[in-house]
Amino acid sequence: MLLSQLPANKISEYLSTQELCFKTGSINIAVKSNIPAIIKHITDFYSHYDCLEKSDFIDLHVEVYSVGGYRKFYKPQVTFSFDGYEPFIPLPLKQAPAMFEWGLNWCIANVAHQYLIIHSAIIEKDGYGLVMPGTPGSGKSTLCAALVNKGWRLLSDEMALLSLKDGLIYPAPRPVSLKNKSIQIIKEFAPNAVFGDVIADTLKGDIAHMVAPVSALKGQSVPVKPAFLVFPHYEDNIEKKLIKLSKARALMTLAEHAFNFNVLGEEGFDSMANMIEQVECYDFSYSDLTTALDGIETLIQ
Amino acid sequence: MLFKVYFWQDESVIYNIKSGDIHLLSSFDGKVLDLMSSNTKQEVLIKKIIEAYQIDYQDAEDYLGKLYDIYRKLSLID
Repeated sequence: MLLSQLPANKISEYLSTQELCFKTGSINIAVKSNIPAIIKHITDFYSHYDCLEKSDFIDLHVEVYSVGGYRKFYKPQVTFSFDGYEPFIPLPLKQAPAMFEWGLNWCIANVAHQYLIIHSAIIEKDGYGLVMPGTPGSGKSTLCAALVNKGWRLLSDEMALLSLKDGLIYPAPRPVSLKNKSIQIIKEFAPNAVFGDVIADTLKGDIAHMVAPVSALKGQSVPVKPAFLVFPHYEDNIEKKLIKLSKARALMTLAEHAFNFNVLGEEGFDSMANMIEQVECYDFSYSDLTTALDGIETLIQ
Repeated sequence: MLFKVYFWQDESVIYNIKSGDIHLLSSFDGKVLDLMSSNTKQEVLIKKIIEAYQIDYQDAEDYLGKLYDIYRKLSLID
């Protein structure tokens, strides 16, 4: 059953009184919150996700709630907890949806050690997995959002879950998080894409979430074999450049983007090296989205 | 074994199992490291360096000495 098929008001009731449990690809989540903005965020962005029972295995139990005390009257804040632990300082209440998404990313990066977790967008087309690791501002989410609106399947815009067992990358599709100029760029590029409200003045600037396409949810149980590893770099006013990288250099760079490489040790290193063995590696600089997409599309041709 | 090594064409990547550090080396230097760790005799290593770089014995000996220093500092050999 999908969350949208729950009887009216059940999403709100489960969220505020017990937990709302749902599946995001390989990660099962249970959420509790009485914040209206979180209830709206989940209704708007997760209504097509599969509902889970409390008896199902849950990877992450999280709670997003208002900070109490006098502060809630003059400067309301939100905080995020994971199994009772609060990893972040509270944020302004209006940033609750952003905190929820960041919090989930943090949880996955810190607990899902059955995977090597790469800070990367991961999408798929015709069976080819495209891994795009990147630091904030590199344009990975912008490219990812544009490509999933051109027929690529979204596995994640934020983290690639590389299985230590079979070397495949497992999906964990969630809303695509866009920042600042990228919001308008993707709204113009994909007028049919569904966006939430812009959350202004966060630590990362203005944030807007784009609903994950239906194709991402249909394929949420289907892992992908990585075929291309592309390190994107957005720069103003440059010619598009797609340069082949040596595998050794690609591995060195990839290690910088692996959240839990140090936790996994030798096993993580072997997983990365095995992935590098089977992918073509590129450094990709671009400034214009349309020509950038052409560059990416040529890879699988 | 103190490290793992993967070779690709003319480059290699070394993983230090104890520290978790990784290092990018030329493929040849990676192979020398591999040989050092299996207690290959110094004369054999010098011969390989002479063949690879077409240098005289003294230069090869110096080169090998530097590699020993670097690899010891990185705790890749004892």
